[in-house]
Amino acid sequence: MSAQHSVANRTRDVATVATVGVVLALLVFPFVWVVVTSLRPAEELLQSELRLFPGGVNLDGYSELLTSGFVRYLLNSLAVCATAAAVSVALALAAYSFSRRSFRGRSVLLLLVVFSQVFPFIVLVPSVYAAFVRLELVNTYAGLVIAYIAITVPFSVYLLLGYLDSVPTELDDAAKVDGCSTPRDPTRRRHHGDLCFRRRVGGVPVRRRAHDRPGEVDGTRGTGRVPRRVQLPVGPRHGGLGADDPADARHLPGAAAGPGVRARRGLGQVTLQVTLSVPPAVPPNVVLIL
Amino acid sequence: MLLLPALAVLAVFFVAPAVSNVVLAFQDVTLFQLGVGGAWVGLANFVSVLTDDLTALALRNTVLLLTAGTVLPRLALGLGLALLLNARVIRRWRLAGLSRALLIIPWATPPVVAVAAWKWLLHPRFGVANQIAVELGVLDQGIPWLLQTSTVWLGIIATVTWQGLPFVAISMLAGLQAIPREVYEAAQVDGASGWQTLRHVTLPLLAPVTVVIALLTTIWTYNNFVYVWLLTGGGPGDYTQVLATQLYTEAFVNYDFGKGAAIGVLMTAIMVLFSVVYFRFVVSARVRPS
Repeated sequence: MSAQHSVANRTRDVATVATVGVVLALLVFPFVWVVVTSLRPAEELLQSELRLFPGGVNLDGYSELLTSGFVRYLLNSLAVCATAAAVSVALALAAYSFSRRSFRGRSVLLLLVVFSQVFPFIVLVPSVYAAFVRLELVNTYAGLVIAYIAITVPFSVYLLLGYLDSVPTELDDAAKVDGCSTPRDPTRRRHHGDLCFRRRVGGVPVRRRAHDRPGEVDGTRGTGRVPRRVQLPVGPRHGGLGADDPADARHLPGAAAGPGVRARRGLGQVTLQVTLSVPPAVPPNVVLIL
Repeated sequence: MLLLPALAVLAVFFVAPAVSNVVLAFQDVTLFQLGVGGAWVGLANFVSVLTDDLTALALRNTVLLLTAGTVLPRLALGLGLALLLNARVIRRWRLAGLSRALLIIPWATPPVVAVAAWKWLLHPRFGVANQIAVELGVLDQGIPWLLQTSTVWLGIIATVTWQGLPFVAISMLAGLQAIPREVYEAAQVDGASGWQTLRHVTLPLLAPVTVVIALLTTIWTYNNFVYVWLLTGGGPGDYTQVLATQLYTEAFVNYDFGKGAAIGVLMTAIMVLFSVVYFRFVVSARVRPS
């Protein structure tokens, strides 16, 4: 009986793996075909009969690439994308303010960032082009870099916000109690009388900035898990001590289960904050335009 | 404040172009007037767009064929693929890493390369898709996939689906893995069949992730310009024009920036309308606190 059962299981396993293999082969085929084609002898490229395997290996295509302007193009791409990426990541630190501070216009600005994800960037092309003509940025590296930054900043802020929100504020509080400073916040000055700013543990300031390492603190980095349903009520949020508002869902166990999908409701509108966590091998190759 | 630089970039290169785009939509602007600004023409651009037969065609193409036509297959195939890859045998035979790495390849391919690869695959004479079909006796001779109206959308849909499928599959896989094993055990104890488990346990628990993926892929596809532009350029004739390519054609081929901007305004309005409706009715209904 159990032998029969395991035979049935075995058959099903093999069928599953075979199906996966066929589907993946189909998916990978166009890419493999590009590689195969790039290596084919020239006379095989334009032939009408099917020939799956190339008759020989031909690297002429590659050597021709290297002697033409390709290296220059490659460097262009690298320079533009490296600059844009560096600036964009630096600017994305704005997410810290969205995550840890409450300030006037927060929800409006957040809505703007969310809206930018919905916005068709192609729409901006005519007016950006018009502006670039006026600023003489057409056909320059600077123009290209600026355009990329403008497109990627909202997305970067948005992505980082998801991670920062998953770090419990208790860790910030603990760090503050230990004497860590936080980025200057004009709105907090009034509260300078708060004891928490002066407290030290055992009189020794401890340098530990847990909020700088999202993921490590709750051990969810790279697990590729999306928490199923996490809902955070939006309200005035406080950094520092005094954030012990029980309505703040981040204080609930499990709510800090990592970046994922969460919906926020409040102030009459529902905004959806999406951070799709994928296994770390996945490049967030999110091509929004061009 | 950490916020300011990002907001400045957003304001200058995102909000300003968006606003100036709306302004452009009410002007008659040609290439030479880009630097100085055109004459005010009131609603003439909108009248011109709305009375254009091409707009109706482009709208229908964008919504039904480009967006619905590729999002639905992606969701269905992505779910199937995720379920297959989530099978226990994949992990037991240590194929999880390999299968995911292969799955990612289409997603990691730059869109321009993907389009070039597919154009080559679908080439009337030298394309391997035709050659295989002829070899197998499915076709008598190769068909010009992207050059005739009866098959051109199949070609576009295949390309977009191919490139977008990995994202859907991986996200759904992550969603599946977040479902606790206990739920399945409970279903098993209750005597649920495989189909019942899928229908009443897996799918409902996967719904929040699905809702978000559907939204994201819809937005990305609707806003996308490259696939259609590079595959067909809107042709044959204007048969595959979508809103994004129509916008580009008006602005940069006919040099009527005002009309292009007007299309942009309409395109944005439709997307915003869709997002609001989607949030109100789908997201708020689905992603509820449990």
